[in-house]
Amino acid sequence: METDIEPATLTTSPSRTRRWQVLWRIALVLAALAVSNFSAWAALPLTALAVMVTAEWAVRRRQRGVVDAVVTAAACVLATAVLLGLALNVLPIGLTHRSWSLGGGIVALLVLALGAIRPIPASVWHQLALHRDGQRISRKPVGPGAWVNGICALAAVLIVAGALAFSANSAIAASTTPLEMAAITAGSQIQVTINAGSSQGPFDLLMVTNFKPVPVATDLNVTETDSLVVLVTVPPTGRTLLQLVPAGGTDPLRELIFDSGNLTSVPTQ
Amino acid sequence: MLMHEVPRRRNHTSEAPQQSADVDFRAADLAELNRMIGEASVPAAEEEPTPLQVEVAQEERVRRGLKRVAGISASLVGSQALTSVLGLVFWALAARTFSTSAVGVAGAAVSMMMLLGSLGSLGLGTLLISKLPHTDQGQRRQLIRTCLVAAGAAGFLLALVVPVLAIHVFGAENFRPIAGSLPTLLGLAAGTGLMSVVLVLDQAVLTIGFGALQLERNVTASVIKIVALLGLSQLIPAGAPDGQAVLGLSTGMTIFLSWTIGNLLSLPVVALRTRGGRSQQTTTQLIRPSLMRGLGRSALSHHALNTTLQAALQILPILVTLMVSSRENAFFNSALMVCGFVFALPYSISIGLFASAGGRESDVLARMRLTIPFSLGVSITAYLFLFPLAGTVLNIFGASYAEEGVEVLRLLALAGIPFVIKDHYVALRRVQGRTTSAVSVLSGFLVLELAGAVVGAGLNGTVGLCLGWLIVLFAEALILTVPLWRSWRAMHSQTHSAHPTAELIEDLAGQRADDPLDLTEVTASASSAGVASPLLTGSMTEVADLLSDLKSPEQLVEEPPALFDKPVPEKATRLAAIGKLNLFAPLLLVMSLGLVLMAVAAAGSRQDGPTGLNQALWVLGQIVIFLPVVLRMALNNTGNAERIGLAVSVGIIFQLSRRVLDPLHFAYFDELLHATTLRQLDETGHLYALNPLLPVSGFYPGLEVATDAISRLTGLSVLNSATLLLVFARVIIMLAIIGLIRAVSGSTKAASLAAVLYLCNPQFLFFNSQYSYQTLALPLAVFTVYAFMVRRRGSRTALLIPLVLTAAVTSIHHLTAMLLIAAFATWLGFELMCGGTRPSSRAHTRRTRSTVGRIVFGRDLPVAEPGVDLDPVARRMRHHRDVIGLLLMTLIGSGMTVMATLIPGNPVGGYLKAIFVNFGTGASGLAAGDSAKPIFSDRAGAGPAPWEQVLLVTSVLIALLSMLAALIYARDSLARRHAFGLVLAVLALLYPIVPGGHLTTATAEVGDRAAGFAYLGLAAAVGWWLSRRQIAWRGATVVAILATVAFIGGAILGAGPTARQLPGPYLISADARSIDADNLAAAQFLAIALPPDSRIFADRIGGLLAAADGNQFTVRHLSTGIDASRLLLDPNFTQADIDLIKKAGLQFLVVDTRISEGLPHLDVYIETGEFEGRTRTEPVSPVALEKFASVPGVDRIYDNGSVMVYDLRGLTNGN
Repeated sequence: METDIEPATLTTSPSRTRRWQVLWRIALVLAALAVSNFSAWAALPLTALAVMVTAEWAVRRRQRGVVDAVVTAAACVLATAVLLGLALNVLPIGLTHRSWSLGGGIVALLVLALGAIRPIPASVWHQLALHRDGQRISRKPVGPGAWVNGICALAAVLIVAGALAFSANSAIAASTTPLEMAAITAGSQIQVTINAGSSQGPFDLLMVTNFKPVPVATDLNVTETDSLVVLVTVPPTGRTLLQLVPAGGTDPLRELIFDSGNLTSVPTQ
Repeated sequence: MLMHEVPRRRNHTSEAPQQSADVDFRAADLAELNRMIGEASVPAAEEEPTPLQVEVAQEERVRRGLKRVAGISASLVGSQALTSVLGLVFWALAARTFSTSAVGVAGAAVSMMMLLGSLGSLGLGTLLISKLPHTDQGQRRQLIRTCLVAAGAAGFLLALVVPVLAIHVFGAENFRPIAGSLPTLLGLAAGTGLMSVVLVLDQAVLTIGFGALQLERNVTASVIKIVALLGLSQLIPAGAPDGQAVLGLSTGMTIFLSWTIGNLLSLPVVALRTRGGRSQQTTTQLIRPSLMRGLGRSALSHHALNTTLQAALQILPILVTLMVSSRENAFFNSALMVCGFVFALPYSISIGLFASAGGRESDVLARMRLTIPFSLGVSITAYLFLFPLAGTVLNIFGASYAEEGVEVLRLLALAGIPFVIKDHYVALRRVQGRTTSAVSVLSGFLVLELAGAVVGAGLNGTVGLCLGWLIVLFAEALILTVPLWRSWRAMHSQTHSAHPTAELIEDLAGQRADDPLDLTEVTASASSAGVASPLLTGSMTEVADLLSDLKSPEQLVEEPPALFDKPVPEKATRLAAIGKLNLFAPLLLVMSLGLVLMAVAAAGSRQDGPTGLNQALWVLGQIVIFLPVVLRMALNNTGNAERIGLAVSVGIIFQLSRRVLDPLHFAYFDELLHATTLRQLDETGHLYALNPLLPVSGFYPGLEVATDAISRLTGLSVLNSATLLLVFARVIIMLAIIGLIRAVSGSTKAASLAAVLYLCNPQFLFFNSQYSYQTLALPLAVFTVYAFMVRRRGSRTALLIPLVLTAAVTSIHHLTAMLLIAAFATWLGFELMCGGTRPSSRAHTRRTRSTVGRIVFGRDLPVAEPGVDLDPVARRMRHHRDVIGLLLMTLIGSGMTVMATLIPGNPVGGYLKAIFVNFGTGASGLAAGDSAKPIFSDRAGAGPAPWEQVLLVTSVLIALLSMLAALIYARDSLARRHAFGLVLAVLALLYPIVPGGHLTTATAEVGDRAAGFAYLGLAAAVGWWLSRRQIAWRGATVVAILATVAFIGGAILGAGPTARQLPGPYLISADARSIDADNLAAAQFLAIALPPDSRIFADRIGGLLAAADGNQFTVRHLSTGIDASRLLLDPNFTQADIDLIKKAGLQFLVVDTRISEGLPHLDVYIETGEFEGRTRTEPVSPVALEKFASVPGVDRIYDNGSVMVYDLRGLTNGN
């Protein structure tokens, strides 16, 4: 077999060790599947860990270094997910939490089992510490000390998280729901909902039929948390306007239209 | 006013080639000085001293050194105190005479004058210190005048340009009182020019024998300022508004005027005291620029350090004015002035430390053991003193200052503590002669300090600004402790290991240097010798420089270099040492701060719109993230792990910048159409449902499948799952590019450079980071090629991973899959062309040499250069396997692509055909001379600002220039018979399609799509080309700057002007800028109130939101073949509308009335081919959008002021 890069020394574990290595990975995969129904806080770390150890198990035998291992693992996990999804789509159950759990679990266990029946090379992290000739690399500390690096990296992660949180808060603060008026038919009546992202009011709700405004509700106030719901009975025929106006005013801020008329003549062009 | 006094260093240090001459000069000076002060020459140490003698000598030296530090510091503090007290009196008077806002305006104007005046001095003061002693007496005045004129002109021009730019380009409205009108602008410019002049003059007088003159002039100026202030205050009519006071100036600028008057009237003092020199003039020519020739560079180095040191304290008041208010700046400025006293003593101690060291690093380090704790003690004591008394102290300025400035003063006073470390660091670097290094480090920190201040100000006004600045300052102090500690450790270990004889010689020499402790004596003696005569405390740095230059005992004991030893420049060695450090984590921190800047810009833009300041912050954030990374990548000594880490990190950080922009929802066209498929998948659990927005996307659901997997297995929300997926994709593409190019070139440097330069792809920041199928497909496609490239040839499973990945790519994105197959086919063609023949002898020789060189020097080992070093049989075998492999990939990949197109209903053929026909039509029209679309303007007439146009054009030019590298790469690949290298070169040569596509609307889409592929080749070629060069710091800086320009300009080309990249008020048909609370609320209503998958019609954005968030089926011509655009765009309601509604089965109509306010930015209101289409020159009529309000049978069921929803069911049922 011709290879571009000489493989590092394969280390075949004793059978007991190998069995243990497979078993704890299987246990992890099963645990991840078990908690996948729980909240993301529990499911995410376990699932990520299970995917990581399974992928590492598969790519470690490439022995082309850490960069290759990481990129291959990431790409293959995604590709597998995509192809598995296409396969699940053929099944009547389709793509659901259950089918993903089942399918993902089977694939993971298959990968672990296939890896176990062949000699197990050194892990990717172990390969990181080895030269191509299998000798351990002596790593002299270069650059800022480990603690400085650690502090910087930790600070960077926290700052990035802070920036994201800051952006989310800023977007929430900037996105105030406008004063909105909506109608939903509720039996013979119409349920008018008035909503806003900030406290507003007082308003009057007028019903205008034949150009005559009649107050339906007065002194309405909306708050950020509470919507106003008003049930209105609209005449079954003709044209009716529901207008939200400032208390005591007449200029409509919002207007709903209910027209039960028929279109009799329309221009052709 | 107390400012952080600028240390200035006499500069005659030369660059390496002049080193020996410089040493000679200094040795001669030393001998001369020693002769003058009556010292004997340094005795040779003939007898070996005992260890006890050595220890006693060392202790004695430290003791005497500390005594000198104390003496110099006390003198310096005394001088500073005098001028500072006068400054304090001036501002206290101003505060009590004028309104708070006027004082704030004056404070900002003075700060700006100090900053720009200092910049405008151009380092000419330092230049004069260096040049004057060696200038003929007859020409000295001429040289000084030349420098003064140059500095005055530079200061004047800077003050004319900078405020105008700040106001009119960056929208800094708070600067209007300073420079908003012609009189104020001219007043500011004149004052600044004058400030530059006096700054240079103050340094010049030190060297021409009038050391006390600087103090005299400063005291005179301060006194006149106070008198002028009192006089001008009397001229202002009682009750006059702030707007008009004296000479058309505002009240605030009147305070500034008195400052300028003080400076102006102090000049005659100098003229009077130096009148004796006129008789020695040998020429009547007033100025002579040629006298300065050749000395600018070294002067600028010190000037840069001085400027960097003082910049923060001068910029902060400007920032307060800019980001908070002039009034707040009055309190801030007063607090800063008080703090000047706190900062002064530790600062003076550090200057004294430097001045007393006589150029010996070991002395500085030894004395730091005491000076640092002492300075920290002083700072902490001062803080403890100020904390309870802050209000009382500020009461000097007035009651409101005492009330509102207390918190700021308490915070600012804390800065004295980190300043101790910073000042000591500068003293160490000066004595080491490493000013350039100090400038680099402090410049970086300055940016961070200002970034911290900006973020803080954005969050919590002046207090936030102080906090942000302090946090960075303390972090900076922590980091700067490391070099101080290391230097001390190094000195300590050297001291213990050094030969006692050499140590004693140094000590004895030190004693001789230490003996003339009295500074006046030194300067007097030096002055009489005509060397230099810095005298008083205001210029202690120059004194210290002089001492450090003249007394260097190391030079006396220094052994001559070996005969054939080429002296390695110390600077180069140090830079090389920096290059070898692993700076991944610190740079990651810098990148994260860049992201913070972008977040602040986005938040500010949400609140105030994309103002100039927000745009500047946005671009600055990009620069902070990108530039340092490219700089590190371009350097030779950067480690491979660091390169890879940085490349991946920069990709991730920019990916996360999308969440900074749109943290709560999908915002772009492609994102919303994929969100629609995702919604359909979530509702039905099955794929291939008809996506009404873009039917073809539903047939390539790989992206949505992967998102669904993450979402369902982890419980994350859809948006978070999508973000995680995109981060994964970003990691894959960066690593895949690195792996691929490393496999091709054998160089990690080339590979990581290529990965980072790929970011200059105009689509990288926005289009290729959005939630879209190409965003996932492209990384997997690049990985497929990589996986094929590094496969184990001959193995039965060699093609397993490439084929699995090809299948995945095929199910994710049609065009990427096709281009992947095309790439394999092209590769196959080139492989057949190269035919497994040997590379040209030249290429082989060069390659072998390179390999050997790298083995010898321990650099990258090229391990995967395909076939270069193989024997002919192995080469042929490899060639055959490659041909077969490529053939299989092409055939099987084509089969997969065809299978995907055969899924019933897949419209990919027609879709792609339409795109390419459109492209062909546009391109041929362009070739035939048809009118192209305006280059710098969209349909609505908006476009990039002039500075953005410059960046855009420059970025295109840089990319076009980079094609030269692609040509060289193509030639090299041909010589090496490297088939894949040729594929990359071909990709690179496709680049002109990218900018060319933007010439017409029809070709723009293909141009945009091509960028992601063309840049692969371009980045690979440039990375390869750069990696073959030994690039030093200067070269790396140039590369980094060019790449940054290409990056920012590319982003403008790909995503539009910065103002459009940022969030802001609603714009018509402008993707993310068209999504706001109004149409999101309407979509929410659709989701809650209407039956799912009702057929609705809406404008472009309304339709997208209705489908993605509102759970509705948006009718589009692309999906139904029905063009219903006249319902919204035609002012007339006709039978055609009713027919259309019935034909399309429309149930609801969503009308965003705001679209009548202008033309659409993205060419169409709804979709291509709409009513009146591209012939439209006027906005849609409001009548068209209101017409359904009066149609019988139509109900309006929703109204939020901007968006209305009409129920059309009555219309279709009744007729």
